[in-house]
Amino acid sequence: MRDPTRLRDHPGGMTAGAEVLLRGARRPQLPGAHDLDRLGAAVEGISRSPRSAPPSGLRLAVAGLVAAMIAGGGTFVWAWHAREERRVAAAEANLQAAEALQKLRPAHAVAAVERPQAPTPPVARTARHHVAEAHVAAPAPVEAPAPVLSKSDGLAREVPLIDAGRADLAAGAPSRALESLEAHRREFPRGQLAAEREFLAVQALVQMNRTGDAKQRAEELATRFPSSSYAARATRLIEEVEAQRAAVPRHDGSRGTVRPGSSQRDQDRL
Amino acid sequence: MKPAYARFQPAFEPAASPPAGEALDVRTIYREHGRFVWLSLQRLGIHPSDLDDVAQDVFMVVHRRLDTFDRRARVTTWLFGICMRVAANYRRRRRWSHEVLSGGLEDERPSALAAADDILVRREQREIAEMALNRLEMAKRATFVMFEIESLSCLEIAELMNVPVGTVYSRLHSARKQLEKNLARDLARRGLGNS
Repeated sequence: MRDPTRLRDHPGGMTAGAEVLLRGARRPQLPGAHDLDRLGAAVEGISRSPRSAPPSGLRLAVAGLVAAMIAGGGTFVWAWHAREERRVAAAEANLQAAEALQKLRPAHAVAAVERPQAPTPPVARTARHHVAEAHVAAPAPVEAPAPVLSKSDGLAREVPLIDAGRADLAAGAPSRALESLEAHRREFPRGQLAAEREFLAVQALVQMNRTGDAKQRAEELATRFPSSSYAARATRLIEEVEAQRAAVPRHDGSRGTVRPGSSQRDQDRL
Repeated sequence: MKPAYARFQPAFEPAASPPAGEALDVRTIYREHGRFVWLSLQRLGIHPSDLDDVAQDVFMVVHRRLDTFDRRARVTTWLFGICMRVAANYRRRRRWSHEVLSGGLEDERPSALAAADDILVRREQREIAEMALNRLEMAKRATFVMFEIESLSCLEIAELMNVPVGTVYSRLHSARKQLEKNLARDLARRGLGNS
């Protein structure tokens, strides 16, 4: 049996949908030398780790933590409670990934001395939104030494916050994403996922057209985590934004501003 | 003669089945099949910005499951299966129905002379295409990408995924129908579509 005719070779031409699909879809690319070096170094670390699966007690401990998070918040308003449940479900589902991250990110694994702050009281979303906006550029507070948590427990608590930020970003809600990321920064200023948090914050600020803040945050990320792939990606992102701004002339001939990643619909949503 | 799937690994001689008695470890597998894993994850829809992290997850699973690998089987088939499972976990985690992560800015390389509207058109096409593809079930998505975007033959795809060629035809047909339906709707919503 012969292979079917490919869409691009279809006699009579492609439909509009097929054209958009073939032009827009990403073509898989081979890894570059830098990608191979980085992945190779990670695999080297993996090869030295034990092969056995994580103990079941760890899963029970995380489940207990999750249960405490749900049960202990009797005063939550409904919207906050629903959001917490989604984060808890994400933490349970990603236990294995959290274990892998713990082993493979020694550069980011600062000693797990975190201060578990008192839960942020539930506030109406609009009020929190404005508070988050006002404080988003403030420097991270200096944290006093805190009770020691195990790295696994801390990471299992960090992941849902980062996930929530990433999901909001993907949904085109960068200011909501920044709220989650700021919550992570308050609770885990030196968390194991701090580099990822900062990278997502840079993306959110770019989407909000706050290029100055994004650039500052990218520079701080590069200073704090110079060998992190997130730092390199944040730097590239800022460079591209600035290149796009420089390339677009206004109608009056002066240089204009391109808001990368945003159409008018996105701007309306912000 | 090289097996058909050797196209996927231009830099390496494919090791279909490791010789009996040869010790397998994750570093060897990475050295010989790292590029294959990188490509496979993209075919399954992993965003370029997440490739590094997800690839590490794959090799962590490889390391832990090496003892269960049946040496009579092809390594690439086994690896592709792991990639699919890891990608499925990733997809559940990232809530793919809304995925357009910052519009993919990291992999946009517009020339300095590109007009802003061209950039926006390309971004919109990217967004529509990726959303449509990410609604497909993963095996169909990978089949479609390999056939239509990378121009692999159905026989090559069948060897890679360890399925009969008829299954490849069936997945491709189903993917095309689903994409056609979803794209028509998405384009109509945006005021685009067949004239």
